[in-house]
Amino acid sequence: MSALAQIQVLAASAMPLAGLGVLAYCLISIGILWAHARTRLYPLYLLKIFWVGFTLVGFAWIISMSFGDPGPKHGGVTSEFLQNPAGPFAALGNYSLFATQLYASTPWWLFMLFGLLLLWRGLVGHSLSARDSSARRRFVRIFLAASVAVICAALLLLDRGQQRLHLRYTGAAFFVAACAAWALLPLRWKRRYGAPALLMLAAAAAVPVIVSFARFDWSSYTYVVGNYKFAWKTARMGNYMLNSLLVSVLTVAVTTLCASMAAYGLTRFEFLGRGAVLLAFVGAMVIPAQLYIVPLFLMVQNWHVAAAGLEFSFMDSRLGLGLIYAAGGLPFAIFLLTGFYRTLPGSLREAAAIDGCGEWRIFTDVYFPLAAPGLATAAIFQFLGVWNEYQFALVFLTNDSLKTLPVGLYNLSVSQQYAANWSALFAGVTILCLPTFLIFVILQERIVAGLTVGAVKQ
Amino acid sequence: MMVGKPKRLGGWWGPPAIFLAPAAVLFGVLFAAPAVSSLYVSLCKWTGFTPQMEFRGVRNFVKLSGDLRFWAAIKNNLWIMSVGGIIFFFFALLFAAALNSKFLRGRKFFQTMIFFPAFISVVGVATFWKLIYDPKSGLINLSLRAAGSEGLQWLDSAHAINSVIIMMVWAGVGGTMILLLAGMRRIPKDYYEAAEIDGASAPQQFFHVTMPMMREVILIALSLWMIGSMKVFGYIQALLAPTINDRNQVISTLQYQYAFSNRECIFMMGRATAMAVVQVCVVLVLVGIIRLFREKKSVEY
Repeated sequence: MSALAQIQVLAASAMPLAGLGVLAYCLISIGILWAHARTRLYPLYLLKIFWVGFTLVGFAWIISMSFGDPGPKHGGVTSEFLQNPAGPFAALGNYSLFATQLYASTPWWLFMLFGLLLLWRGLVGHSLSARDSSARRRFVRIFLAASVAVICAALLLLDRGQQRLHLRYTGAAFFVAACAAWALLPLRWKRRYGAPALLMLAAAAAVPVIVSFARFDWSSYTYVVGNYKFAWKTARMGNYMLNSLLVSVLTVAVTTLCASMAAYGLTRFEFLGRGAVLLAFVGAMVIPAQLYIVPLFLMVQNWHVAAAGLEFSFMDSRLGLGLIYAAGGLPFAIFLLTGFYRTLPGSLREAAAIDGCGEWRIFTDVYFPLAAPGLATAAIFQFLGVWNEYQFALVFLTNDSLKTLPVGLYNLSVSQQYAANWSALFAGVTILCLPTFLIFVILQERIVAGLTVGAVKQ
Repeated sequence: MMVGKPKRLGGWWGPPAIFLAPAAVLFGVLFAAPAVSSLYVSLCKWTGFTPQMEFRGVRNFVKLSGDLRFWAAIKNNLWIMSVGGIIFFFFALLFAAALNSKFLRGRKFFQTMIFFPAFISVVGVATFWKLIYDPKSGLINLSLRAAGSEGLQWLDSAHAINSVIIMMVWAGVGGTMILLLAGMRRIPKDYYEAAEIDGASAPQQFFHVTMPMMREVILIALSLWMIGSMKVFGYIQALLAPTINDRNQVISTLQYQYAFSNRECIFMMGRATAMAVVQVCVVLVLVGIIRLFREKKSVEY
């Protein structure tokens, strides 16, 4: 292999970057812990840092591999992930090269001018003291902004001819960045000498990068987006996501309703065999899906309803799957909600009964709204369970347009091993994981609270 | 334990029936009835294509006990439960202890990053690891090769179950960590202070104060892990799908293969259900054993 190809292969292997990244991350986190927390650092805790580091590196690798060139399609199995050895770094490398060139072609005196401008602005700004009147302040600010604008306009006018086009863009972008930075800075920063100047310098330095991004020829790297489009289309993710959403919402609605009613009935009334019923529900959590999936499948296969021109078959329908999930999710939801309902005071009941509410009204108007946090927790757990569920969907949905998201990804993973478009598979995994991560970050507090409530009520 | 006196009613009828009805109907029809009928199905021979079932008595179970694949599958399940359990609880306790300690920076970040894999779909996790475990170009083998050694065959039939264990630990440790953390947070601080006064070092504090107080929570987590490791299906199916073979099966995947996939002969619905019955019995036995360890009264020191 030629030297260039060898370098490319080395660059393609994630190890050097990944290793450096992990090392840097570990050192930085150790440094942070040491400097700020001032606690003794048990060696075992380093395991945690490496664990999280591995997770980060793993996802970074997956995302970067999804930017790889899948190469021309050819039949047969390949086990190489990338056709082009430089892989995901080709696009990034060439873009950096282009940006550097553009950057380097900005004349030196332009940077000197920007630097002088910032210095002048900083000096003038610093000369403002707290005792100055607001009119003077306003005058100084307007003067500074106007001077920056004038100079940038002069640059724009100076820049003629096609080969100096970047200068025009640079000046204009700098002007916009400077005004935006000035407008957005917090007040106490504006009084300081250094920070605004640094910010505008950073804006000026970032301008060639932004300009080059717009002017770089991306046409040979369209596979980056193409991978995601391919994964989306082949795995029919839009379609499947909709199916998953429909099934999940249906299941959550049915489960929450039935489980809250059942939990209320189990905690507020004493009747014969109440303990047995509760035990039956809670004990059902132990039963694996495999036990009843076969008889359920056989039972449900033959359920058709044809009435008034509408045909409804239980087998290949999202409604049917939703009801099956609801039945399977009832044990856990009832378990969670009985624990929750027990914490609600019983005195409200007497008060409502005195006011003349019937039993049903007491439930809907008093207890159901009070149980909202518990219901939200149960709903979240049920939603996540159904969204990620895979075994029942595999068995009960055979019609291709009705399948749910996990089944789609499974089909993608099995089929792409034979079609040799690995980059699309990486893209598919990224599409699945990133939104989950965002939703998780948003809902994390609620989920943790729900789990800990469940642990306390044993 | 209940706040406020519940209303006393003599029998079944009336309000409790109305409140329990929807849940009972849904649960009964779509969950309990199949589960109970599976006990009958396990005693039959059935192809699944014909509506008739032949009652064969316990012959299915006898055949199961002679089925080598079934025993290999049970061995894999038990391997996951024991070895995987040790690794799993080691990391879960370690991370819970680390997050419970007094350092301030980055606790939320660590908790997020450790807990996050529990919420990716099983298929997503399995595909993620399938790509990382790939022997030719996966991340782990690339790193090993760049460090000089030969890559390992992670998805080989000999090593697949260990790879599955690593994957399950990675995905599952977050939830258990949160559970253990909740248990740890409920321990009053006075115990730690008393131990400090007595001169206990931090590891000693952990083993003599934290662990005994967390007995209940640890038992709950243990039973959840045992149930989960017997029930596991998605991870193995999605990780090993095209290349799954007799050494790599778990009870659930073997049952799926017997009942629903067309690779083997198709006369095995009864046997598949018999397998599931055995699985449930094993789980019940294990949960029963765990319940023996629970203390009857609350612990006070």
